[in-house]
Amino acid sequence: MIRIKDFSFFYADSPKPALENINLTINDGEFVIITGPSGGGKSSLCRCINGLIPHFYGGKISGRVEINGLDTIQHKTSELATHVGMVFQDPENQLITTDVEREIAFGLENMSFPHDSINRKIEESLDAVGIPHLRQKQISELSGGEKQRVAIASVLALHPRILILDEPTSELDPKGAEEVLNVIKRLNEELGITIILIEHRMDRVIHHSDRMIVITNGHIITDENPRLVLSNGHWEQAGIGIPPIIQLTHKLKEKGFNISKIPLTVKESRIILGNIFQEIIPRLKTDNNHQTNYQKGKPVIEITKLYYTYPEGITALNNINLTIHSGEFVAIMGRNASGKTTLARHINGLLQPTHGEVIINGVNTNKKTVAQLAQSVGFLFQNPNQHLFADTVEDELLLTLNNTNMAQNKKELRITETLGMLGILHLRHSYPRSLSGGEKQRVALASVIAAQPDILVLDEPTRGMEQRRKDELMTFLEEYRNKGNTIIVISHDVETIARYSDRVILMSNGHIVADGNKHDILSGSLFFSPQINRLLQTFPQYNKIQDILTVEEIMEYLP
Amino acid sequence: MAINYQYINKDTAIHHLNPLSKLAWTIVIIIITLTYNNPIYLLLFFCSLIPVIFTAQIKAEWKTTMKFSLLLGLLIIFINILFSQYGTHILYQLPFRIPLIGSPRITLEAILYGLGNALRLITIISAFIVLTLTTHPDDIMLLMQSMRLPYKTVLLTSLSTRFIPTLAKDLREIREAQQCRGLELHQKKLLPRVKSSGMIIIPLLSNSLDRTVQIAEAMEARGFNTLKSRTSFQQIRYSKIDFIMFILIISCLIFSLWAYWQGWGNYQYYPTLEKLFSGRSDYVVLGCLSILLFSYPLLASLKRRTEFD
Repeated sequence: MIRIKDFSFFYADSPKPALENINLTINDGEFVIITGPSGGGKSSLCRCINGLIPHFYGGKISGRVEINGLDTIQHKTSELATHVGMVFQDPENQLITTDVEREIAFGLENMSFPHDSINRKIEESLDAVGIPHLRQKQISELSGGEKQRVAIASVLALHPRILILDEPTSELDPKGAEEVLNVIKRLNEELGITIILIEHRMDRVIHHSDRMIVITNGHIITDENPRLVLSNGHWEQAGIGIPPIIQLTHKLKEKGFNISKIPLTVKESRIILGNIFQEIIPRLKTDNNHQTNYQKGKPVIEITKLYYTYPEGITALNNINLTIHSGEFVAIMGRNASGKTTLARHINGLLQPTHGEVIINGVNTNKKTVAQLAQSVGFLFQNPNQHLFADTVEDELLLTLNNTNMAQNKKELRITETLGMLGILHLRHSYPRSLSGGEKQRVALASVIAAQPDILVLDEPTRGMEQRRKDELMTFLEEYRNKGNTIIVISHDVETIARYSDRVILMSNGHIVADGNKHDILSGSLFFSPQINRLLQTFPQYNKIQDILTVEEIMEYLP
Repeated sequence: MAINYQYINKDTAIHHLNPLSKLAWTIVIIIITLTYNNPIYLLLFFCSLIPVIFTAQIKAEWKTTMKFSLLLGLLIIFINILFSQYGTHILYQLPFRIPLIGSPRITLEAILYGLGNALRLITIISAFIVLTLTTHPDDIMLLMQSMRLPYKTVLLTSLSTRFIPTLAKDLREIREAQQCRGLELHQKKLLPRVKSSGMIIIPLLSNSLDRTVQIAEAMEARGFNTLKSRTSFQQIRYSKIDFIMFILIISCLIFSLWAYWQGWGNYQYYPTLEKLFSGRSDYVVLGCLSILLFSYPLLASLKRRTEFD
């Protein structure tokens, strides 16, 4: 049992409290989701529970935290390890050894368990997370989801009754995320382990949780059953993202429909909203044509018969033919290792085709260096840390502009303009690496678009992002596109793609398997359909709404 | 082509050997290669590695390293030819003078001496490659721990080897991101090149620091440093064959040192090349050494087979 009483905490160098006056009791066997905007205090709260605060971080503290009766001030993190286990965001940075067996043994060795008992516990914890077949593997051979499950197993080996997971899926692809979340659910249901989960992808977990705690500015603003939290307005005020079906339910309620309770899953929504749709679908407007034709200009990217084989002999791209025009907003989707990133890397010359050609604005990419192509193709990596090199935000943009042949006096103007567009003018003289995650992302984006490339390629830009930041970024990209530029986004994020892109390219095994308007590609698909579409797929007789993808679209149809 | 010197997980007789035997074997090969200077003996030592490399299935990796070591070997031969003027069999006298060196003459002795040393070099590199490619770094750590080195030092070393690939990946991504921002990384001018390499080091260091804090947190959360003593799950197992192998390796060392002390395998290149074989006894010593050296891979395979039964 966790008991937190009148707890406040200040980081050593901060005058503002990271947590203020927290009172919280979590009982054994509960499944608690903690959510809220980044920087709001979620991670700090978790670190209080396992003693990393104050033992690892230091700072000012008042109040009490008790874990199974042990005061965290008197007991070190390492002593609490058998009571509370903690799994971190990035699997790469919490695995200490090079193979699975040794990794799980690490904690047990620290606790001085004898050899035989370690042997047994390794097997048990691998079984608990469903990966006994990986016991003899090297860590480097594993996928992201597998690595994160090894991390969970290594923590479970110490038999903690409480498991804290700090955004465990934010670095994973959807398949890996699902694997991990399924394991967490099972640990709670079958072994009765208390789960405290910080998570943005709520659609997969809310229905398993007992409680949802929303933290902003160091305060707990709500702590209730998830259905209750999502029916009152607290989530809106905190700016957290909620699944589209719940948004839809709220919109329908505002329109005056009588809805008894909030559905948490697509299955529930079919039951709860079923009657309403039976009644309103015949009355839907039919003249509304959402298949808006966006402005399509001249072709900017022409790829013909592109093959690519990696030096190790793996063929990643197989006869790709593709034309993208100016003014298009294109999403490239597909499973891991389907060739998405490899294709994107051909657009700015980071990779050169084994066969075939890639033509950007009429010039073959093999005629130019990556740096020369950067004038017309901007490329943003997923991790903004890889993008930031300079001492101030201003210098960061200058670095890009110095590589163009722009006149000195115009550079100043361009910097102000770019920073203004992204709303970070006030950060002009800050040190880029000390900024928050969202700000870093914007500085990285600013450093790329300062050159005003007419093609912008983004690799997984929304992975691990909270909803508010996602919307800001995508709105910005939409505006940038409206100026006649081309946007290409590689993403797994179906809901975001459904809202913002025009064209979807689906890849598999190095082939393009589908390419067209998002309404044609994303509706009625088994794996890549957004929630709203999966809800509507159950009403096949009403084929006029078959290709609706988002809440906004469905609301337009309503009478 | 990058040189690979990192552990590759394979299921072979050599991989299954006790790390202590592998370490001892490598050290013995290095000692005897450095002691003997008769090219016939050196050739034997080199040949004794070949079955080991084949058994360990690391031929491809070994070949890429060999390309690099052969280049180094050629350099040794070349330098030796230029600087060593002692031989009596003059093959060619350069018609011009080089400052400081004079007018070098190329002698048969110098060529052979260079060849002998090049052979030494590639033997030592190969023996070392066999050790690092077939022994898990953590096993070497374990060995050091059992030799009473403090655990924290051992862990630190093991952690830094664990993060080499991550660091390499970071480096690649940062360079790519800079290219994408329009920076030419293959500049010819020195000053911009130095400047741009500084811009790579800062993000690399800063990322590594972030990583360090996260690793430390994760270790703390898993009970690192709770108790004074800690157990070790992985243990080095010593079987009967390991014991026999160990005796074999040690006797190989003792025998070769004794033979060298008695005057076998000592070869004079200068001023005139000696005869390679001084008598029938040379064949006996060579024979004994071959038996000792070649029984190493044989015993390894035997050990693997007995483990299966």
